[in-house]
Amino acid sequence: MAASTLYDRAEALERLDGDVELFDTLAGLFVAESSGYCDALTAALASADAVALRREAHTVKSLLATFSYEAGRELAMRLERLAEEGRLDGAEALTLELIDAVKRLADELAEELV
Amino acid sequence: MNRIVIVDDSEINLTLLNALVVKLGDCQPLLFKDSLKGLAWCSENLPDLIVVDFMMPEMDGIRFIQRLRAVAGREEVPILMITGNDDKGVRYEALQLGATDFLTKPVDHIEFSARVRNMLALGASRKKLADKAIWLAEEVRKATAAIHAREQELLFRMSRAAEFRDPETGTHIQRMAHYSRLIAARLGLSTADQDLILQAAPMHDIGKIGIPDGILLKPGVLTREEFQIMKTHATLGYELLAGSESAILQTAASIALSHHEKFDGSGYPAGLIGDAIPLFGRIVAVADVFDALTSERPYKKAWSVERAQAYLREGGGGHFDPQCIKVFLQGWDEVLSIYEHYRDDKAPRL
Repeated sequence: MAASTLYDRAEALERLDGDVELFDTLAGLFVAESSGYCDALTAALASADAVALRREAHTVKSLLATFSYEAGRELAMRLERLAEEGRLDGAEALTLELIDAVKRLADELAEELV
Repeated sequence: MNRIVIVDDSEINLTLLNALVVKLGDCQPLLFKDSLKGLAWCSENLPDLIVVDFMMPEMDGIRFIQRLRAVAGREEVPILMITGNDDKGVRYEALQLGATDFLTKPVDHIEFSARVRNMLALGASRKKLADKAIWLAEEVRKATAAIHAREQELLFRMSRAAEFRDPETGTHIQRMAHYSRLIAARLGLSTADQDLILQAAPMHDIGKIGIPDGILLKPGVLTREEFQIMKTHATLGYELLAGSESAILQTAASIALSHHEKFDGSGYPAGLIGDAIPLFGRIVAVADVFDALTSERPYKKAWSVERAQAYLREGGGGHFDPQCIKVFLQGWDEVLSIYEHYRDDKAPRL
């Protein structure tokens, strides 16, 4: 399998002690739940709920870090900090970028699982 | 098998942590997606370790830790909180509220294994220490009980030493001690005071050790001079027993000195009147005389209990404290029970 440019599979696998089966299970769960994460982010943004937005961004941040998707993790971290400060200006663009990152990772993981 | 509770609202995190716990080999994971349910379970069951995420919808990890630490018996259970690297403020707050250590995200199997093993070892050491503390407390209790039993045996044998030269028997001191305890109980004294008089009363005549044989063992009536010498056994007993830090010996000293005082002031050695006589001395006076009257002696036959009872009744207010007589007679069934239980001769009663 060609190395992904989106996430660092080797690093993620190393953290799991090389357990490919476990990695694939986690990947499958992420793919299955990804639309739920995106919907939750969208809903929090739509209702201008900074607390909910912070919580959803925090959740996604940890998941993207699990797969060593550093760029996505950083996006989530920025959104989380913004929401933590109660500021929602600039949150829309950041949220849409993050949703896009989640979808891209889900697509790539889904391809690899096939 | 170590029970490790994992509380995290993310299915992926639960799956990951579950797998890492299983890899440890001797650990059983217990998973809770709902932090409130996790808290409820941990409150009722004692896990060996808890791994809890920070950000959760029903109750976050910090509140979970705070609430769990407030449950009795959960003050020491190791808790690992999972936080992001950039959550310094969260970590400080968690530490203040009782988190034991942290796992940073993304979770790494090496770090997970090391932290979990350390926490389990910490928990095991604490449990061992607590068990040892319980064991030690029990050993101390046993040793204290043994010392107490030895002290009581020593005191009893000391009391017997005084009786050896006297024709009275060992059962006399047991009977009069129980009569004394009975009066103390019926006067409403505390259990501690009842036990005190039970243990101290047997030493009432220990001063007789200092009385010459010729007087102590004289079968007939003592002369005036001989009686004066005999009376000194009260102060001799006091001198023998006074000055100790032991509550039992202090009480025994008071009893030895005052048990021949009479309520109307005609007793010895000080001629004290009424309530000026220590209560324990007044109690033992009744018990000692009753038992002396109902016991066989070289110079007299044992009186019947009924005759002794009448004597005591007449002596209330004169020889004896009337209140002590009253409660002694009120407990007559128990008096007879003690009399029968510790009887040492079958001679006919007058």
